[in-house]
Amino acid sequence: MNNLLDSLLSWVDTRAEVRTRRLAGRAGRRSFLHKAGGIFLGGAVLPMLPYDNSNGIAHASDLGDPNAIPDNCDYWRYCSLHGSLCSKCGGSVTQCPPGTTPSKVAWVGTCRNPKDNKNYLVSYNDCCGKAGACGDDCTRQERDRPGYRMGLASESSWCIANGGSGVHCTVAVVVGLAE
Amino acid sequence: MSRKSTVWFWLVGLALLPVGSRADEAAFVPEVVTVKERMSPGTNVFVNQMDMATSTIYIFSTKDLTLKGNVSGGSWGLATLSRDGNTAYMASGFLSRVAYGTGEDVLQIFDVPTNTVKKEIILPFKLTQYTPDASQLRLSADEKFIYIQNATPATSVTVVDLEKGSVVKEIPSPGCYGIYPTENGYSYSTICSDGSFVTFKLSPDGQSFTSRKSKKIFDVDEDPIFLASDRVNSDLVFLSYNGNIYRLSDASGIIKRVDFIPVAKGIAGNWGASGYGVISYDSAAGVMFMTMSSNRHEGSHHHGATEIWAYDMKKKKILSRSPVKDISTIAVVKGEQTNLFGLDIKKNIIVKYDINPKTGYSLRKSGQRTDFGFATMIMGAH
Repeated sequence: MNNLLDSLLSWVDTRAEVRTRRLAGRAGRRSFLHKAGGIFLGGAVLPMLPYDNSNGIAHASDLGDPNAIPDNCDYWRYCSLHGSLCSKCGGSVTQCPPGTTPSKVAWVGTCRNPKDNKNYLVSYNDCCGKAGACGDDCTRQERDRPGYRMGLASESSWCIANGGSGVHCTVAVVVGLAE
Repeated sequence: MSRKSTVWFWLVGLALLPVGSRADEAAFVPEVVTVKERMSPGTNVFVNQMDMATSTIYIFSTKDLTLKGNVSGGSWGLATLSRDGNTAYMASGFLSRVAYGTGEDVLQIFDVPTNTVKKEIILPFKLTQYTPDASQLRLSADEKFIYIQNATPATSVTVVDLEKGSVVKEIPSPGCYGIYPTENGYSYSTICSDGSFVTFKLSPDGQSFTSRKSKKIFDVDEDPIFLASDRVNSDLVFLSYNGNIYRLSDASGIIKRVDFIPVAKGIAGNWGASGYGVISYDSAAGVMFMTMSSNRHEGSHHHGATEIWAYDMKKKKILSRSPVKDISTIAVVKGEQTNLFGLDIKKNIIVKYDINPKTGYSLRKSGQRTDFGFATMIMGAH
């Protein structure tokens, strides 16, 4: 019975995600969201990230060298981040620290890169499975929405999809252009 | 004194010493460790502090904010109180190795006066892990059922029959979040991703349900509402990021919009609502208190407020604007008198405010206390 219910929930969640993407696709300046739909199921694509779907427009140099990105909440790609920076916890802006596991799902922000004045989709995956405080919390949370729009809800732990393990820190992975 | 006398003096003195010691022993009563069986009497205000490992409900005196006791559970603790304030509920998670391992979600039922666990009910391992809000753990009107928000992130609601002490139903609610029970019967509404609400009506045994979806109530992109709510008479009231009040009715079995009040409109400074528990209604006064901040911008909606506005829900006008610092959650609680309590999100302090009806229900800070960490919920008996 539980398996049946789990299957049902999984199905309705997928349906909801599809509907959310369709809705977002019609919703004015948030039309970027239909491009982000795939990363709601981010576990499958995370190993491939960051990828470039900008046909050569978004060069790696514009995104910033991951090893040279400042540990500063004001940095552009942290615009919707809510959590500790993994770059201050033994990882990097795109790498979870050793001994942790990236969350299978993530919330998505859209941030403007001042270098090229383009909006990028940023996937904020929590890194899960360890305790221990590290770094200061970033709480910019731009375009954050409550749990009724879960794909944009930065107040949720995203380690819930990893068996509810503890949240250690958060990465900010640029996954595409929003325009 | 001669040498001989000195010797006799010491011999007599030493001989008498044990007698003196025995006399002291006879008078001495050793202390024994005991347990204070009940908290000190008086009305209470409760603070739910979420933690990744051990969440705690702190219990303070409404009179002077003395810490009277606490009860605690596991990670991401959601909390609520019985109407009389004598029973506290916490739904939280327990991982076998705290940060990893096998997990178990548990509903704990606490006797508040003795701070003891009365009962534990094992829940489906799907509990939402989200900054605590009152909308995630709610009692039915007669306190027979408790409704619990799940998110894996697929959202559903677990229904527990408290009389039976067991889970009776899991209700899928994809794309919807938050639980807002009706004032009678076994129904609750939830907010959905398209700005509508769905109202679920359960059978008396909780085994079956029907649902009705409302029209679009608000614009999720342009004017999102907080999860926080309160009742004004029989209506549900929400506040949006932009400082707009949505007054809704759930009396007919489906959510209908009763009123829309743009409270901050026309006021210079780009004001909006800010915090977590952003509204609380003083029903005796007919006044809604709201946490507000100026110069709002994308991402500022969870910052601490700089003012608390007192709004007359009948006359639809702002009565006062009290300056505050970093208050993110408020609650009107009735103790010896009615006070507003607030949480300072930066300092983790609970602040007590006296309310002055003669000056438009303006606020004056009359006490503060800190014994806890990050908290977003204040509760009191009804």
